[in-house]
Amino acid sequence: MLSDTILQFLCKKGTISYILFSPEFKIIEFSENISSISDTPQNINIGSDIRDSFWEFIGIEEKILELLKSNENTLKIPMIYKNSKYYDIEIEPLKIDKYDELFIAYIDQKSTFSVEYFKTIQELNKKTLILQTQELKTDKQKNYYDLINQNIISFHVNTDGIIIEANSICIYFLGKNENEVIGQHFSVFFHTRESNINNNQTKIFNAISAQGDNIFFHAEIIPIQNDGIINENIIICQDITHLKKIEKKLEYAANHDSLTGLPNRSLLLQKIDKAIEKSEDNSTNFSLCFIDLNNFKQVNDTYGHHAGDMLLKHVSSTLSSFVREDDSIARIGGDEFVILFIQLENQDYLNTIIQRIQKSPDKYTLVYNETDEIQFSFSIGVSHYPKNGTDAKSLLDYANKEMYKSKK
Amino acid sequence: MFAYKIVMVGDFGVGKTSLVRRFVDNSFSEDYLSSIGVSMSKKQLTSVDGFNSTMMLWDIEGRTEYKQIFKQYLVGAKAFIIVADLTRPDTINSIDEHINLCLDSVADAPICIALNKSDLELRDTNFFDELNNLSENIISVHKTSAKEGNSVNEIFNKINNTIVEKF
Repeated sequence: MLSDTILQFLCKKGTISYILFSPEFKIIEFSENISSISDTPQNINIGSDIRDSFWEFIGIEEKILELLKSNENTLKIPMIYKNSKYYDIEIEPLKIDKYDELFIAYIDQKSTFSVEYFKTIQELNKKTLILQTQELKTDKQKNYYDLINQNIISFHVNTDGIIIEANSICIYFLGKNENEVIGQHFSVFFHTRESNINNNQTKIFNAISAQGDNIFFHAEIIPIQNDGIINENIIICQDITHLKKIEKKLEYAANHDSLTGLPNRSLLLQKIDKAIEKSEDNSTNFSLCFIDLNNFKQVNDTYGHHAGDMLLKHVSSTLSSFVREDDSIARIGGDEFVILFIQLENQDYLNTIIQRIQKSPDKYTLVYNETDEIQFSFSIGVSHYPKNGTDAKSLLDYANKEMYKSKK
Repeated sequence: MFAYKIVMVGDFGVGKTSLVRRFVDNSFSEDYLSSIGVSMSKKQLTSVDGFNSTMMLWDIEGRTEYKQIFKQYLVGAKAFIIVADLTRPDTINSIDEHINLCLDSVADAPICIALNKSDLELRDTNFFDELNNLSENIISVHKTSAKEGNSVNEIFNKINNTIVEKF
């Protein structure tokens, strides 16, 4: 028939294919160009099951029966992607000649223009996904930043050191209202040796918390540039109180005798140096009293080291009672003690003190146990600044020699 | 042979195509190319009872802010796999909407939920109970990774066994 020839011609020229099938999915007729769309072209035969050659027909069994009954007479499956091409499939009931119930599926290949449009959509989707992923990363970074910021004190100051912004943890730490903090010089709350701010510097701050705790901070000063000019700094404070405590403990251990708790030789030398500086400035003098515990070795040999340690603690306690507030006492060796007497009123006063020290063992003997009392005595040598030396070493040497003289 | 249709549903970029590719070809690509329309894949399966079947996988384009899912794609599905991206909370929040859409088309269809990209998950999350409670049709929730293949076969086999059992 001419109409059949024209139909096939149009299908071939255009992008439309068709296939007729029964409600049992048996193929009745199809256009020649249908094979390029089929998943398995070799299965396209009159009488074969359309679902063997077109997978998209699997699952629509109930739906096409509904098409026969309902007013909705088209089932459309749009945008099926096959072999790098897109197709729309429309299925409609059809009545021809001897067939009471038939279905025609016409398959329309999308134009090149449409495909280009879809590719644009794909690109847009790709960019959107990248953007969303980046936003998620940014959100995460912001969350991390907020989390850190919630636990670290920070505030902004202008070049004069006036606080112009403070984070919530800073306000909370100080126990103030924001308007009590903003506008104040930072040194009102954060104490440091120098109250000026230098860019890219670190400082140690000391501040009192709302709870009254003395907190040390390591403060980092970060300059902020606006239009190439540094007009403010962010100060980020990290609590280093625990480090300061450790530092103090280490410093104490380095400068003190662990048995008696008295300053050791190192700290005594520092104190003598300071005393010399002070005496030079004020034209005053001071004296060193070198005290050696006589026969200490015998105590260790007789009673043991435990008794020796007890005696050293007892002596340090006894000698400390002769020391005024500004004076210092140190244990500089095994059984050697030094007292630094500052700003003595006169020589007589010093002589009186030394006599009392000499007599103190009689008064303060060490009761070791129920039956034993440990007797002890001192040998003492004295040096005066600047008469017997002008530095710590020479003053100690002089007093040491005087002490040995007194032993004899 | 018994052949049936299942549809992969979810927002765009969650990895529906990657899950299908991992299951059908055991392959994976890092390059993202969003699906347009629908593409179909076929997989021959054997259930735990030894029943052979053909699973037709409809990999449809994901929902975007500007374009909803074509309901026509869901027609005749025997089951649905709803896919979400563990690294994008919005895609997990929209699972509920996808369930409603699927059940509007096929009221009694079993649903599996694939929480995909588990290889990129920063924190171990557990909202299985919460998701399971969204619908009685949900038969299982899995954390999947199309990239590493984690739980991919499990989720498709779970679907197959359920459908074959019903058949």
